Amino acid sequence: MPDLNMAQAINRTLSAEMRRDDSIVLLGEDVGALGGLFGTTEGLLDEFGELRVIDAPTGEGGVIGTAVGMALYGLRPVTELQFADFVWPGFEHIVSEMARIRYRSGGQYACPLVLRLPYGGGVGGGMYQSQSPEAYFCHTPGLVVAAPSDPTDAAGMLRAALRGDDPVVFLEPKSLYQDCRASVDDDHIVPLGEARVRRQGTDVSVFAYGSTVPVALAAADAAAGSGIQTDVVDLRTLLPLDIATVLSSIAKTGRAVIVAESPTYCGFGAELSATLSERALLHLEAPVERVAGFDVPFPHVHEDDYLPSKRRVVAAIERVANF
Amino acid sequence: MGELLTVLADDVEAIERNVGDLSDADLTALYESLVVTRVVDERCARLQQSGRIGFWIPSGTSAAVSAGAARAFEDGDWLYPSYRDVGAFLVRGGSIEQLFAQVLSSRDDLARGRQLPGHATLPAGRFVSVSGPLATQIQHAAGTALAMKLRHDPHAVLALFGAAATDQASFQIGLSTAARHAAPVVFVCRCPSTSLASLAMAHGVNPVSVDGTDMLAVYTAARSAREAALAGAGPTLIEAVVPAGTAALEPAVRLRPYLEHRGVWDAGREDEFSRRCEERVAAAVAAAESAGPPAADTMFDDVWAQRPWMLQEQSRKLRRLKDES
Repeated sequence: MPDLNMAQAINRTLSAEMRRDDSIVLLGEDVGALGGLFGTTEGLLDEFGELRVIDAPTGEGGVIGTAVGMALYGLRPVTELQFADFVWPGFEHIVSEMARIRYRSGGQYACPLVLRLPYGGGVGGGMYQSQSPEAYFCHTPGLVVAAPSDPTDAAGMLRAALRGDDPVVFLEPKSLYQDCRASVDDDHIVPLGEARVRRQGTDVSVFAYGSTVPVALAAADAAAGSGIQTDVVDLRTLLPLDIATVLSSIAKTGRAVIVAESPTYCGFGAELSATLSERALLHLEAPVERVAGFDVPFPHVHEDDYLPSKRRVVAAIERVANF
Repeated sequence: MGELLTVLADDVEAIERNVGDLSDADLTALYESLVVTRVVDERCARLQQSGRIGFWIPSGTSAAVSAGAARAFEDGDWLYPSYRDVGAFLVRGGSIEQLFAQVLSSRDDLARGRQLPGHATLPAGRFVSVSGPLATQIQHAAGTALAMKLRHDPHAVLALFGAAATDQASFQIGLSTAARHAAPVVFVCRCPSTSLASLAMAHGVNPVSVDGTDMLAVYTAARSAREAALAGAGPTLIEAVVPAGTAALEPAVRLRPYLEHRGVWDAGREDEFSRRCEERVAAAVAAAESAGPPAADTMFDDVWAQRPWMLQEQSRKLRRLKDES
């Protein structure tokens, strides 16, 4: 069980699963010779050859539409885009085709495609290399939307996606690709739809996913210094949400802070907040707070002011704790 | 239409050189598909007028293109149709009963009443579920053909679409993707006039223009294109030209003399087949209407492989609502 960073964990999982299942093929911009813009497919062209590791042209609509046709045939295509921000030309194929073919064919066809999207800020990418598009996908029945926050989960969740029967939008927080190292086991599976409590606490629940999990954990450490014990729930899968873990945390704390990078308005936090008010009202001791991006296009020079920072999360934890 | 490939304009010997592989039964079945499509169109127009269905796009003169092209493909080949492809549906083994189960959203519809009339699914015939958005199936066809190539599957793919699809980005991307990989796919576009040859060539796709009212020309062109694609010569775009204003009966009128010459068709058989077809369609409509729709709860199936918790809850909620009413 080697210690790997997230990019290496994804690379190792792709390689292991491709050896196990010859229906898995990779296609995307620079996934072959370059080994992926973030190195997640390094060495796979050499190992599996150009029939299974296909350098696609830069038209994202083309990559995704082609992958849908491959998945319908019975392959398990994995498409990697350079940045989640470039997904929009393929949006029609994701929403109208990939997500819906099982339904519109009465279950006669399936589209088990894994769409890997490096997402999020923190890398100085400006408005077109930093976005968090999860809310668009979470509004689409038929998709599974997942965002890991560390190397172990990235491997385990990707393995689950590659062995599952539903199309998966797999959001990889690119600021965390090299963030930390953790052990990666080639048999480890993290079922999609299961959250993970990363830190136990009884005063405030902090719900985070993907890139905001390290921020939430750091904020929880800081809040502990002022005597507030925080339950940090890494949601991991946003669609379908692990409602049981969410409700058990709020039943314990009665106070919630939701942390996301995407714009606040109609973001995933809105769904989670509504869910808490519908299902946990009598547990709630304070308004549910969202610490998210502002409702502006992702800024460039003001990126640090836009992103949910430890300081903003700590302030929100203190506000709900002292409400 | 001097530039268009035709077969039925030639003398009988020339026709037979072109379609010598088609038996009497094959030719009769092709002709019959035109009759069935016409009867289906007429019946569906009446169903729409009487409000029993909300939507019908007739196959009309496209019938010869759809069935003629589909007939050039083998079992194991894949078809990506559009919503004017009743002809291809029939050629791929779809029945009149299945068709009306879909049109009328009966409980026997394979797609469980989820799509508008004409958006059929026929997995047994590798006839992929028809999509609403135009041209997306062109890319999927290219993807499936690429997958076949990767898997060394000795089959080919047919994508059928209308001229409006050629305005979409998916058309251009599908063509260029197929050409880049020399994927075994044939694109067939129903067009009012020739306009696509230079576009096809720009993408590296072989262009062919045929008379779309000449069913045997469409068949011949599709068969050659399929063989070329399987031989690694790359994809072909067949533009099947059916000029605006062409009478719906034109393809049948053109094909019938040759069948009469072969002694496999005549006015008596036409009357008899049309009558039986009308009866079968009427029975299929009655059966679909009496079967009724699928249970409302099936709405929650097939969204994901399994129903997640929110669909389980919503299903219970709907059941309570219906129980109360």
